[in-house]
Amino acid sequence: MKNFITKYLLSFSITVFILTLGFRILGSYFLSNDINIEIDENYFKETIPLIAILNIVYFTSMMGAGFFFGKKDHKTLPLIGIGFRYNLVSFLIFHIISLFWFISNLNSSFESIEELKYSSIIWGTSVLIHFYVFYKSKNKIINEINKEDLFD
Amino acid sequence: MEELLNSWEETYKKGQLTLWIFLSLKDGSKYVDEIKSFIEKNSEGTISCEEQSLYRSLRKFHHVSIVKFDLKDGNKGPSRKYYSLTSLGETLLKSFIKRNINLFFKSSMKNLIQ
Repeated sequence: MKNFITKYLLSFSITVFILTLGFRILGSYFLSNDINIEIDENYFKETIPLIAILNIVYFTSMMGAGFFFGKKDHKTLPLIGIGFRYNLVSFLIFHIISLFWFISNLNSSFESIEELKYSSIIWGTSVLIHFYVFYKSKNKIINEINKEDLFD
Repeated sequence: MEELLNSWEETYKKGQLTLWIFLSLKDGSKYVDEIKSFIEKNSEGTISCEEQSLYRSLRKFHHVSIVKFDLKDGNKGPSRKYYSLTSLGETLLKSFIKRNINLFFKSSMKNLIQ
């Protein structure tokens, strides 16, 4: 795990920090004020809670940022553990900010810390799976670089 | 005939870059431009390489500690990375040559090649 923090991982961490902080602020605001979007077409009328759209935007932005910086990192040095590092860093930042949010009572009354427990279990499982995949590949790598890629 | 030769050479050259990088560094520490020139000159133009692929290879070799670099002042510009082989890199090159290159210098093989 030499050179764990690369400049791209650092940029990704800052992006995740900003996105997560924005997600918590907007999420609590939308839930507290029950803000919805109304779609009113001739044959179709629907009310969509803005929090649902925020969740989708947050998820896709996090994935997009991960792919963007991860690809750049891989181009610089094709390390096998890059995906695991990005997943772990985003997991930690999200949960530290969220925990701080609940401890400081900045959450809306419709948000429960229970949801954070579920997300930590589900997301944490994906981090563990990522680590397992990384650990299993140790016979194919030298210092985290795939043996086949080292002298290509 | 030319088409067959080109096709064979294309595949053959793909695995040659590492050896040429190592040989250029065995010759002395160099920055990327010098490594590129060394390879092109000594391979008589048969091996050409992009600076980007040299940087990529050197970063990998540095990560696994077979290549090291020193920062030295460049000509009027920013400082340059001068790459050289570590003792592990030198041993690796020596072992590779012993196992894979020296075969061609046996008299029986020399006759076949000539």
